[in-house]
Amino acid sequence: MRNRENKSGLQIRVNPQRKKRKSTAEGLSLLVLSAMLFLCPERIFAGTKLSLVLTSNLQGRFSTEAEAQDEKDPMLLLAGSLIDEKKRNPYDLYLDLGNAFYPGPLSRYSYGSVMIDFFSYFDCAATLVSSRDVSLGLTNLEFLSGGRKTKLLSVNIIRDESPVFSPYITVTRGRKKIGFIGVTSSESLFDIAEKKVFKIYFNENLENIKNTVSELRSSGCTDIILLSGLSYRNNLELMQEIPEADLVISGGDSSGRLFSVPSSRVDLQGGRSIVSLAKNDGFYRLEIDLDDRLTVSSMVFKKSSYIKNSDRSYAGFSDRLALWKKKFTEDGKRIMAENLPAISVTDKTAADILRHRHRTEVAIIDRFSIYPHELHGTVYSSAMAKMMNNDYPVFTYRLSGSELNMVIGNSEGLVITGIREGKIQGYPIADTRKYTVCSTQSAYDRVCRILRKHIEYDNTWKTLGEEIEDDLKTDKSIASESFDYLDDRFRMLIDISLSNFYDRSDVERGDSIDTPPGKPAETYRRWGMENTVNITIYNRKHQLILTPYIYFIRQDDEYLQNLLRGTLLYTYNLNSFFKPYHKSQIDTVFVEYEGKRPVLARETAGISFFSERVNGKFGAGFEKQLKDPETPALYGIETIVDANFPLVPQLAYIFRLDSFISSVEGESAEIKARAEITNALSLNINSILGVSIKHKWFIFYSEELEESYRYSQMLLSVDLKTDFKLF
Amino acid sequence: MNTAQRTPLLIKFITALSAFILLSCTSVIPRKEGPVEERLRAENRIMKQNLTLAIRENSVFKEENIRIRGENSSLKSRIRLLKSEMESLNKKHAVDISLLAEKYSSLQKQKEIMDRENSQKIDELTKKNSSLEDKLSSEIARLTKEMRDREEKSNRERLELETGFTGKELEYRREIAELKEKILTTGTELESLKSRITEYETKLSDAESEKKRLADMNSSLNSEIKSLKKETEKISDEKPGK
Repeated sequence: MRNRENKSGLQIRVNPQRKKRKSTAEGLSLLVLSAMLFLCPERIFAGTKLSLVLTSNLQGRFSTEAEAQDEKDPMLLLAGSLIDEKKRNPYDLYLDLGNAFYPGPLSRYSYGSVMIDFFSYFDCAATLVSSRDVSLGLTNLEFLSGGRKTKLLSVNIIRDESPVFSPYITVTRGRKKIGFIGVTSSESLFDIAEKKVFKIYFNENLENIKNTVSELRSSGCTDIILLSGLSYRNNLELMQEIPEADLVISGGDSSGRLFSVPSSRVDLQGGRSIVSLAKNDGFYRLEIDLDDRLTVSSMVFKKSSYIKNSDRSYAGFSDRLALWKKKFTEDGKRIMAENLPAISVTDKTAADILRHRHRTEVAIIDRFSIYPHELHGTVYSSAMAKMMNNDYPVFTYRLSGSELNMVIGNSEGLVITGIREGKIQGYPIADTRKYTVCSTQSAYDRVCRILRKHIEYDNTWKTLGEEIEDDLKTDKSIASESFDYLDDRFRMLIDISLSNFYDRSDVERGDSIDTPPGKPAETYRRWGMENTVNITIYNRKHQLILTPYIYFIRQDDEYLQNLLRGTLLYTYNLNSFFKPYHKSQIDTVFVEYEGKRPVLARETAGISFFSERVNGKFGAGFEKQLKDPETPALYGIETIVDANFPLVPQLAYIFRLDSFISSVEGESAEIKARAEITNALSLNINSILGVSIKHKWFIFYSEELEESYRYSQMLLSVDLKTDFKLF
Repeated sequence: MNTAQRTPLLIKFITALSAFILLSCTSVIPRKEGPVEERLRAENRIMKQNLTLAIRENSVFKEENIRIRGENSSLKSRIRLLKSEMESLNKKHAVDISLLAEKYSSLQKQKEIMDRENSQKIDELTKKNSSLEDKLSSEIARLTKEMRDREEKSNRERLELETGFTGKELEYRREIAELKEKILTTGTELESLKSRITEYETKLSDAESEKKRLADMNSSLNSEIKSLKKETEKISDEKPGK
């Protein structure tokens, strides 16, 4: 650059040995020029230009074959084109706009080393750290950038309150000093290990950039150029907030689209511009006028092509690249599996493998985590390296049905398996039910952003690639023709619903004093509970629910409610609407009363029906009191209805009906009917705690006696509900 | 044991059972690792990545180093070879230079001798040349005089011949005029002969046409005669029969 500066006459250097030979006229002209420089420098410096060569989204696209690499390797073609450009039309600075290191298999194999070599050999002054670059690990990038002439730029990746990488570089061009600041996109996802160990985070605060601009200004920078990986919208905001920025060069994570329209350049009021680099199979040449105000005079894209050259840097890099390729090929010969039937591995396959390995109901991974690949026979590690496009660890966590539905609704760019037609393992997704999910860190991050909350997770500390490798070495589930068997796995759920109360009133009074109105006359103690535990074992076709139920209220020595019920319900999951069932139910007292423990058994079978809000059972069977006293069996019809209507997000109306209409065995026309109707309003305070007001109405009618027993109760209770998925 | 006595035990039992269920449920949920273990695992992952990078990069650099060392040693040996070649060439050149110097001095001497000899020879030749020049000038004068005499003689002879030739030319011209006149006369005669030939040819053709007419008349007479003869014979034949 110094030479070009000399050519353009911006720096005047006089050789002392030649000075003596200069004529008086030359001396005079120098004097005149010096005077002009002092009096009107603007005119002298008018026409100062800065030529930039820019690349973006190179993605480490090295080929993996060393044969004829000069003509075939896209990166060597680019290198040749850059060298040719420099010879034919020299430029001042080469900059890269990010996403240079990932996901090219060779670049990933070298952890970015070969890419940083590329930049060093071909005089790249700086590269912006972008979202995909950080996939290689920031510590690796930091290590690689050490001692190199190519700087990694990012003003907003922070560790210990200071940037991890250089926030800027400066370039002096004659009288002008230009500062280039690297602004990384917030799309960047740091590896969880680095987050945990180094407390690395992404600073989205614009003040950070503003402070850097001020620092550059105070150090004498005349012009500021932002190298940005942000979208157009964010870049416009950046320009609005930072008026000192003369130009934004956007690349890396930026799609280069303004309102979905590809736009390579947007000019703002005052001559400031945003230019976007959308193509990546060549380089851009940007000509900038550095006159009174920095302005872009032209931007031209030049596609890479094979140009024979004998440049020493090229030869040196080509030799090193060949060595990396050799190592890659050697390491790629490691056998992962043998005699594998022909299979096509896709994102969906990988997600199903995660479901298989972690026994989760759902798997969510990013689209294009896997480059679709055919595997058969002997599988080498090179195939894995070429196939993988995601190196983040795998997390397992739990999402509620409503959260899952929200994720499904925003699933663009995600691949979700385990959910078919809105069902998981053949059952509709229940909003309140928790489901186990397995994701890569990147997909988990996306899920958190969709749900706008942090989700507790377990880290497997294995990447998707390592999971597939382990699978190839052990279960080989990857070779399964279908992953439907995952839905046949049995799972166990425990739902606990506890509702308890205790009321003790102490009354002390004289013998003659009257009880004040509305106050108890005597001391009493009342306590009670309505506790239910549902233990469910199920798979796609079968569901078995064991339900212990206690409904007990006691006041002093008097039992107001004294029910202990055990239910065993089997349901065959025939289809979404109708399911056959068989139910065994035993009712007894919780506490023996007057030395007796009557036991009532009910055996019914029938059909269950399901809709979005209302479930029901309609069956037939018998009811028999087994002891205290034993009575003949009553054959009858069972009707159960269970409805739940949400009124507002946290408030729901619940309706339950349980009836059994029967007649005595051997006799006819003597009907006995038992029915219980519950109406409730349930308010959820949080996911496990709620308050409900219930009205229960019970009737037992005997035609034989032509009498009935009625009972109604109004309850206000605090309910504790929780559920556990055991496997 | 009555009901009232059993109730507290039952409550305890139920409470204990609930607690047990809750505890057992929480215990079967995979226990989360503590922050220290998490941190260790994270450090392990980072170290593993760093180590892999270092190993791979080291392996490439090592191989590159070996290659460069190999190239370096081969270049060094080539330098040594070139140096020894240079030394031997230097020695050879030194010998050659001394030999050439000797040769040069001897040649220098030879040149001096030859220069001397040449100057002597040049003197001799110069003398010879001057004598030859004298001889040649006298010879040239003689030959010049001889040529002049011969030229005068030939001029005289040419004049005589020219006079003779002029007379003959006049005589021949007269003969030509006479011959031309004869030719003209002969031509006139020839023309008259030609007209006579044409006249004779006309007469001949007339005679031939007359001859033809006569021949035709002859043939018609002959045919008449024949017919007459036939009639005659016919008449003669008829007469005996009567």
